[in-house]
This record gives sequence, structure tokens and C-alpha cells, in this order.
Amino acid sequence: MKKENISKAIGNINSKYIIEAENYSASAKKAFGNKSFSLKFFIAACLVVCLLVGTVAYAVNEIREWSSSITFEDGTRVDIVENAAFKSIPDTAPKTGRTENELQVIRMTHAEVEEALGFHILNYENATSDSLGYQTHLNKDGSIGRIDLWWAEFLKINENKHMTLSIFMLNQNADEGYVLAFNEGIDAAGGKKLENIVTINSLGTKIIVYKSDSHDNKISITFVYDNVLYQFGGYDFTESEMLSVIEQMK
Amino acid sequence: MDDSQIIELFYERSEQAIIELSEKYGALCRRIADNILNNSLDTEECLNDAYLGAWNTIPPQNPSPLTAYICRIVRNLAIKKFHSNTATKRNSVYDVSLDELENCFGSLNSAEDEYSLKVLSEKINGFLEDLCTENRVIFVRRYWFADSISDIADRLSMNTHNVTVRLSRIRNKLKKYLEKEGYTL
Repeated sequence: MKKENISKAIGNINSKYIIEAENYSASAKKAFGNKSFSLKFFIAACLVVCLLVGTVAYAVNEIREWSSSITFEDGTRVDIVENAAFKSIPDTAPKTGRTENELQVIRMTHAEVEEALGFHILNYENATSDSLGYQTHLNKDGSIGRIDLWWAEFLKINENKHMTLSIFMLNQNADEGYVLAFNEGIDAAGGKKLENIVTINSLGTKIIVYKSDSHDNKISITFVYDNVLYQFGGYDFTESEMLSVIEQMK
Repeated sequence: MDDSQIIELFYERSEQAIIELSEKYGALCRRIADNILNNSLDTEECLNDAYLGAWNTIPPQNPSPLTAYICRIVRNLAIKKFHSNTATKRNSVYDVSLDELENCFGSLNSAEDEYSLKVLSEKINGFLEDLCTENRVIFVRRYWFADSISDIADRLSMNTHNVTVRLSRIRNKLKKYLEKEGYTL
């Protein structure tokens, strides 16, 4: 598509968004300006406290937390987790590279993943496959910031009825960009509708069940367990069937 | 002065209307034109053309809101000038922001005529509606106003890295959204 036409398409957006962008930025700046003195004072006070406790770096590492939520198409925002801790991923964990055209993925078994990470990842003894895709996102300094695991054939009944599992985690030194991505919600699918919020007793965690416009036959379930974000996609599965599987995970 | 009072001056064919319009929206219009053209002489010419455009169209137009109306005129004129003058084609913020959008729309070949572009604009409106306010503002500031990353960061009290990451995520979402809407990208 010609750049000229891209520009025209963007240029025709609704006037209300143009006004909103102009007013929103102005008010945000004004609000920031009014608070700038107290903010500076607050920051200065924080620095003094940090210096008293120990080094600034140590203090920052200690208090860092992350949150995650999902925003549904009706504007409702539901927290998946608040104040979760960062995982301590060993420096020896494998790193995957990234080229312009593809993300490199390493195939690993569940046991190999746990050995590499040094902590437990939920497992399901009746899983169809024991092959997980392992992918790292690196910080600017080259260390691991985030790890994604992709369990494509977590549970396959037949070609149509199957369940996938994505697992996400943040390392303790994750760059802010990765933290922000978690805060905004990992699932970037379009219109999402909340179906249910339940608690799984065996895991002691809140589980969010939702559907997205893109797939009529798909139910998504997401939750955080032991500071790791799990996201299931069940095709042609019922909600109760999926919950039953999750309840059996250890 | 209120927008309605400025429009009244246009309807009375008072040249004071141009002075008041320039007084109230001159800085905003200048920034939009300059972001696109990256050339002060072209920007000045574009602003004069925009004020003349407002003079020639009000009346019969009675735009509400006036801000969006004058900004739209400035943007359209600046883009026209940008594409007709090869010397200004590089290094403006607008040029860089277009490069970013090319990844979303680059291989889209089915929307080159006016009607298809309008339909595409409606789809983009639908996409924007679904975004949270802050992300929508970031998108519009970057791709409509052609603001630089640092300007957006400054306005929203964010750091530039956050703005860059958010823009990247919004573009990915837009691409997925358009694919879902039936566009082949």
C-alpha cells in the first residue's frame, strides 16, 4: 500500500479522537506540572530512604513487583494478579536468539525446562505431548528478561478438540518494557468477553475464563500460580472440562 | 475567544477571524505542519494556505469542533506538500512514523481507491474505539499529529522506551485486527 494512502486512511479518523488526543495530553501535562514539586520531593525522600537501607539497586530489586490484567470489550478490567514477584532465572538458562524474520525456539521436555529454570512449572500427567517450545526475550544488557513456554500439544483429543498452554514469566531484572507488557495483559486478541471467574482449590488461585471474537469454539483460561502466568486455549472444550484438567495439574 | 465567536467572525467576513484563529490554534497547527514538513518555510506557507482554506469554507461550513477542522486542513495540506516535494521526503517525524505503519499496511493492496480508503478508515476507527484511552492517545499523537516519541513521552509523563514499546504493541494489535476484519496483509 502506498504511503500516501496509509496517510489518508489515518487522516480520516474520527474527530473525537483528535480532540481527545489534544485535550488528554494537555491535561496530563498540566496535572504532572502541578504535581512536579511534590513528586520531586517524594523522589528525593525515596532516595534518602534507599541509601539508609542499603544500596539503591538492592532496594529496587527488593520492592519490584508486577501485575497483570485483562480488559474486556465492554471496558471491564479484571486483575489476573496484583503484586506478583519476579522469578529468579539462573544465568545458565539457555538463551534463544531473534532474527528479523523469526523467533528462535528451543524444543525441551517439561523436566528439561524445570532443570534449566531451577523451579517448578505446573505439569499434567495426562498431557498428550511432552514437548515445549522455549523462548527467551533478552534485556538491553543481554540478560534474560522474560521467558515464554509454548505447549502446543498439551492435550489433543482429535484434530478439532485440543488444548494449548502458554506459560510466561519475568526475570527479576526484566526491562520495564517486558513488565509493561504483562501489566497491559499478555493476550492481545481483539474483543474478549468475560465468561467466569472461579477459584481452583487445588492451586489456591483465581482463574479467569473468557472467550474472544476471533474463535467461536475457543475458551481461554488464564491465571497466575507461583508468580508464573499460565494461559490455556481450549478448542471445542467445555469450561468444566478445562477446569477439570487444571484441577489435576500439579 | 470561544470557537463559536471565531466562527461568527468568519460568517461576518471579518478578517479578525483569521487573526483570532491564528492566535488560538496557530501553535498547534504549526507543530502539525512542522512535524510533517520539517521545513519552516514550507510550514509557514502551509499555515497561510490553511487559514485561506478556512476562510473559503466557513461559511457555508460551521465546523464543530473547530480544532479538529483546522487541524485536519493543516494536516491535509502539509501531506500534499510533503508528497509533491521530494526534498522534504526524508527525516521528518511524519516520514519515520509512516515507515512504522508500513509494516501494518505495507502489503495491503485492496484499499487504494477512495471508497476502500474510507472503509479502511472506519475499520481503524473501530480499532481505536477498543483501545484504552492512553494507548489511543499515543497512537493518534504519533500517526495523526506526527509527534516525535520524545514529545509524546513528555506530554504523557512517560519515558521514551515505554512509548516505543506501547506503539509497537498497538501496531501489532492493529495488524491482527485488520486481518480479523478480512484484510490480507
